Amino acid sequence: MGKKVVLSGNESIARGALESGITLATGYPGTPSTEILEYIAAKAGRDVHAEWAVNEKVALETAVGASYSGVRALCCMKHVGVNVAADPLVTLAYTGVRGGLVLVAADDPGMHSSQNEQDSRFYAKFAKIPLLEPSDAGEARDMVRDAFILSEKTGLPVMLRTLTRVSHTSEPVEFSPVKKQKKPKLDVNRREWVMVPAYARVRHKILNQKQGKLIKYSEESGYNNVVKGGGELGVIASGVCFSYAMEFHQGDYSVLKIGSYPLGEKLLKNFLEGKKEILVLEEGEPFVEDQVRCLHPNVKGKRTGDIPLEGELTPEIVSLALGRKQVINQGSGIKLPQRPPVMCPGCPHRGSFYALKQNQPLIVTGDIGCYTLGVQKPLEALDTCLCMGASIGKAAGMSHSGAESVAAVIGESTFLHSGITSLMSAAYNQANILVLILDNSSVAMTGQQPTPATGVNIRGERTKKISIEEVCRSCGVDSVDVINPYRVGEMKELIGKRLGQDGVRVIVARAPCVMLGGVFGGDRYVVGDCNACRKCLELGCPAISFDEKEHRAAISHLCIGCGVCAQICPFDAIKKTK
Amino acid sequence: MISDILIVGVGGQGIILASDILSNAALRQDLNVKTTETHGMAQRGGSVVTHVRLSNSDIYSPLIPKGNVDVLIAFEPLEALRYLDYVSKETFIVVNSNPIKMHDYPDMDSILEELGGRNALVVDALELAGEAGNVLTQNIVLLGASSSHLPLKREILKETIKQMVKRAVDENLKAFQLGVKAWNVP
Repeated sequence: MGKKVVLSGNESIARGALESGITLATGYPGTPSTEILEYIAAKAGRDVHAEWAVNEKVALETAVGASYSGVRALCCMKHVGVNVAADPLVTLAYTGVRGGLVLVAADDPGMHSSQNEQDSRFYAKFAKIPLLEPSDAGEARDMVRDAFILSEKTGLPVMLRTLTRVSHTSEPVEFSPVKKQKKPKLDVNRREWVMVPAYARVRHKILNQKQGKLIKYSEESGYNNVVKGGGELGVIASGVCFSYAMEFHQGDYSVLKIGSYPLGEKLLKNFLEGKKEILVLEEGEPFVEDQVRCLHPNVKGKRTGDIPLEGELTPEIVSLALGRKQVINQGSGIKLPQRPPVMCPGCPHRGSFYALKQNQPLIVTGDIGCYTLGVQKPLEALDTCLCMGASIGKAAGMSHSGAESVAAVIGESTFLHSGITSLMSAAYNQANILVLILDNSSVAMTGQQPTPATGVNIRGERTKKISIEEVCRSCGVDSVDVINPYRVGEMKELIGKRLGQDGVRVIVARAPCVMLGGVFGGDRYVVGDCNACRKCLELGCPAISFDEKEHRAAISHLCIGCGVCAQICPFDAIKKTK
Repeated sequence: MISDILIVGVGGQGIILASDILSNAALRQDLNVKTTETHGMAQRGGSVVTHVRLSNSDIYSPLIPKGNVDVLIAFEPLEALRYLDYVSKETFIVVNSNPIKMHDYPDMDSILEELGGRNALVVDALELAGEAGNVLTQNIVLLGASSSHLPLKREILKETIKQMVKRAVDENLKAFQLGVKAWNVP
């Protein structure tokens, strides 16, 4: 027996990849997928190349390069990252792979930290590639190992779809030995790799011819199996939902566990035979349910309202759908205020947003990152958030539609991910916009991962450092300023000046994320003679509150000493202390 | 027999480390364990909850069904109230008396009143952590205070703490002991 270690689903996926002898691992940070690559970078030897790519498309293309070279590659991203990588993904199914290539797509039902809850299984179906879906951490490790074998057997990339509740659940996992890496061998075959129409037509046919085999492999995988029970109810459960089906299992229904796709009719028909009623449990869309619906007249699930179409499943939802007795518990009698995530005390974005708001732009298009939290009261600092990199394009579109005084706000990592092309397009097409790049030297929301602008790689080693301002200048913008966002007055003045000018103007507000530590040297601020004007509360800093009894503002021990509140206090009542 | 522990609080209070200690202690004691958490945005000061399930047989659902919680460890008083629908009359509740306030934070007296009729132990974890020599050990104080109701041996918990905390090992062990004492001398 190998040693047992408590691993999260994500760490287990990483372990499975290491045990499979990968040569390359790549991806872009995104909840709930981030820890996969971090584990590999921390645990793998020098013979595994681990990297944060600049975005998911680049990550997948890099993995393709490794696969074409005959070695195994892992590529990790959150569900919406697959949208970015969709272009190479779909045609990769035509060219096929050499070394096994596994694409991990981490779905986030319930949107714990995402802008939508799309179901990645549709991508596997769309691209016509095999898909595996683990129900827990232990199975995730096994599935990754089998996914590499399946990828090489079918010559196709294999998608592993994980869910927040699998990725972020930990349990003991037993280690297996690490396989030897494959020797690289670049065996060029242009008819397979150059997708000009004449060659692509042939490859499309070959992909279609593989489909029957994919069903056969899926049925033989051992991941779609039946837990027998009595009664006339059959439960079909995929991913983590299998664990909910088993939580309430008392032998009175059978369970068909789904872990491998595409699903063949034979498997489903065998299970459905003789059952009066079927309940389908899955997170995401009614993906399995719609297929089962074609084969059985009485199917309960998302289409019938027995299972919600949105959000994560819970034991309560499942026990209700199974007709189990419900435990009704009284919650608190007091009306509890919500405690949503907020920008940290001392966050550099707070000063940027405050200065921006003081200038009253017509609209602020936003982007994806910690700063998206600035939408909340009291800052209410941005007006749109769509997807990674969208702020600049949206701002340009508004400018071309006649809006004046348009500002876009984007973090430096998001800018490098997919903002550069929009900046170039805005400059080339002569939009009139102000672009505020909030440069905090990290991908902060997912845990301070480094970016090309930090000059440090995933292993913490020095590498090339990309200059944001040089990139902007090369894109043809009309002006680039760099400023420290903790100097609120200067920032306000600069934004006012640039907002009134024509062309594409970039301001880089640069100060490291406070989670990186060591910014202010341990000083704190306290409120002295407070006039109760409540100006400081406009910052929305978690360290500042208003004491109604004392009728004065108060600063708690959460203060890390950024001093922004002291700068905006009209009565100079906030003072530094040791 | 499953033992269900719900740990609740605010992002940044060391909740994930506390649940990691429980799961690794379970592994040392040859128990099955599943822990699951909501993080990602949680480190930004939001409400955080971790489900810990320990058993000598198979564990299926990573999420604890409502009403099943055996021990609720609340790192913050308001957050204890937020998850009352998970507990039953039998649930042992350990709650840190130190609030992390925000706008519209309820009166402390009304919070304590609501916990009053229950099997609850209110611990000033901040004070005890200070006494242990490091205010960051509040999470370990609370583990100590709940340890009497956990299916984990105290010696194994202490060994696991030694293995898992990166800094201030002695302070953490002292914090654990002070937590144990807080339960012994209510």
